[in-house]
Amino acid sequence: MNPEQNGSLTNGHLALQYFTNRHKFTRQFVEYLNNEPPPTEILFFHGDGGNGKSLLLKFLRKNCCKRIVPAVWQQLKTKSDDEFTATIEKDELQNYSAVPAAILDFGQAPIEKDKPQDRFYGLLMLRRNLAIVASALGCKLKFPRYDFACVWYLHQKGKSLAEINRLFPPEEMELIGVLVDALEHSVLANVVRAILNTLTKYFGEAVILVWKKWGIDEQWLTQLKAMELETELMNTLPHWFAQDLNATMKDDDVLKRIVLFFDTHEAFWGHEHNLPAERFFYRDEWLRRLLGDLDLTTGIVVVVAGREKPRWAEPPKFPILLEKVDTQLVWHLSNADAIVYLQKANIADADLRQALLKYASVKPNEVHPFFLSLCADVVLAAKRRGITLNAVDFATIPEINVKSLELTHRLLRYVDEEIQDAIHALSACRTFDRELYFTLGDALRFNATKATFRILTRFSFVWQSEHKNRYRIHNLLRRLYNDSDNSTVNEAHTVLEKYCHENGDVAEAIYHAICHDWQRGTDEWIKKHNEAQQREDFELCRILQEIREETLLHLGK
Amino acid sequence: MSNLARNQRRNPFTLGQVAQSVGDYFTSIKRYDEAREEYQEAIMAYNLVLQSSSQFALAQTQKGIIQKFLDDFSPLAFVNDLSQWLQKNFTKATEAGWQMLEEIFAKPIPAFMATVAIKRAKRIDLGTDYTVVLVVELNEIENQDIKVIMRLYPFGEQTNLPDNLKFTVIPKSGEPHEYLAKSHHPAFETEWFYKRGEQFRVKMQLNDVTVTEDFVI
Repeated sequence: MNPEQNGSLTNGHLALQYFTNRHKFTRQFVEYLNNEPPPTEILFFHGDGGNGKSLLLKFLRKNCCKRIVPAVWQQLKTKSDDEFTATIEKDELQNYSAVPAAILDFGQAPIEKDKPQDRFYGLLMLRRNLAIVASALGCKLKFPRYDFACVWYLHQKGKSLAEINRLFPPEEMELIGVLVDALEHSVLANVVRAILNTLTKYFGEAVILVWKKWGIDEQWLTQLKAMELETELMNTLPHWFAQDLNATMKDDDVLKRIVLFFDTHEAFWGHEHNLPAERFFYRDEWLRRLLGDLDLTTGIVVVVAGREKPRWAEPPKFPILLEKVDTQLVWHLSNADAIVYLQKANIADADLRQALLKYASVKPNEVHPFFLSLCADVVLAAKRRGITLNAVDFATIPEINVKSLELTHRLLRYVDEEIQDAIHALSACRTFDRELYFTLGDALRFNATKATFRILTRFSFVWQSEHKNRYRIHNLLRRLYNDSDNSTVNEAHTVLEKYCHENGDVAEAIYHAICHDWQRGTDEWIKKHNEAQQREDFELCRILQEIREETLLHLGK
Repeated sequence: MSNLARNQRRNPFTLGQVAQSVGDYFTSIKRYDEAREEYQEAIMAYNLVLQSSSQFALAQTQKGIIQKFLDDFSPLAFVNDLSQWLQKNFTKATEAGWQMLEEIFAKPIPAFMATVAIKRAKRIDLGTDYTVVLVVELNEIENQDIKVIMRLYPFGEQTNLPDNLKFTVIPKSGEPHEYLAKSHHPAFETEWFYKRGEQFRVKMQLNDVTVTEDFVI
């Protein structure tokens, strides 16, 4: 793929083509998948923002989830790190089977049923993602206790069958239909018996025996029924998820490994990292509960990426011991690797390469990957406009904290004003798709077309979400434009508040209201949160609390 | 994303209402420690409302409501129900941070090796520099009395308890008993007898940091 024709180097999929270095991490990850017995630590990559952790996870997921035939693996292990990565990456490898790998990115803004940080919906999202990757490889993962408990919870919360079905993989639709039917046609006192009778009627005694083997019996259902929904049941869900996955891995003779990737761990705390202990540790408690209960000896591999090392050993509730976490610092690129990167990006002028390297450096022999890719973006964007940039164009080097802004401004010099307006407007969105782009174009009178949307989504600072057809502007840039009292951003928030109200997205509408009219928006937030809390709509409470972190509704912030 | 909000005046009374509302949410889902922190943030915010403000009186009222609530629910909300432990039901105990000894201690503790009694341990942070482990052991004896042995151990790299660590047992009705950890001792132990239904509080204090645990048998 030629970056000169196809746009950004750091944009999701394109960036993978130019993935450089990280050979040590690639080897380490592949060892987790192939060494026997399976390593029992959680692999945690940490390092500064923009260092390429997300890209590393994407690279590992796309290229390295391979379970290699033992004889071939023994040979591969003897190769140098460079050769090792090249063999794994380039499909030269024969005799391997693909390992199912699902990802949950906590940094992804909540979209409809996908709320990655939410202690209920986040776990369900992981369950759906796992089902998709497993079924693509011809495996079927079973989460009987977890699924039962979720359906029970959702039904008790008044969700309809259609709403419940949307939250589960399609292959579970029949079972869920039967279960909801049983719940709806039974009196409370006999609900356990009614469930078992209905399941027997539909699926036969043999299936009931299988479920018993999985731990679903009258006693378990009685225990489930007795649980308080928002406390006991909610807290036990990660445990059942883990137990079900452990059991699947133990029972399945073919499935030797499965990978759970978790990205942007720091997103649990938004911009609020100085919370008192209880609230700080509460944020990712459900994740600790899950990880603590996974039996990694069965071949479950957990890989997490985050800016800081996890403080998982500190909380009094559900700590994870330090020795259970294999922390790896993802550091900047070396000069040599940065040069390789620029060569891959077709920047032929050696002097220019040296100048870019210097510009993107944060210390001697430490090149910041995101700055470097933005530099390359600038050169290539200019080239597409017929302008050749030279080493002298990068001779003046700004302070580190303004490098992103400076590079983005340079990049925007080579795009039309219409697109500049669009970028300002879209930086008001936590996430956007084409429809929202057209809505903003209409309201703010910039020329929104399919072609400009395509150009826009190729920029390095526009990230494609795991959620299909959804995008987001890099947080760094959003913050810059949102803080600068930009009139287009201001207008966009007004339009977006109205748009979200019309689409019934109360929480998102409040987010935009807070952004352009703090007092009115926050008053609305308090009203809705109080109402939701009183009618026990804790799902809405949690969504509003995420917005609270995003808009810093805390004292002294 | 801070957005334009950063450039607008942020009313402390409104921020107090936000924290109070989230405190109410945590109370609803029985996360009392988190609720307490939110309420404390709300009180701090209400304290910033100027006397000249039209919201001053309302802020004082809200502070009073929160303070009363904190005082009222504190002793009962965090109670450790030891009767559940005796039934081998550790669900709530685990929620409250109690763990099996082997999950906390790297090596077996000799004092517990020979016993089959019910026991759990909890890490107690006494400030940023010092953590101890409180071990509670239960033995059912005659006449339905329960013998409760409480031990304190240093945690992590520490080998001895700090000199000035105070350990106080406060019965629901009766005089408190205060103990001072012995200098350079690796552990502290006290033994009590209770009848079912009795309540007591344990207070651990190091310098100006105090942590309490409430129990009912």
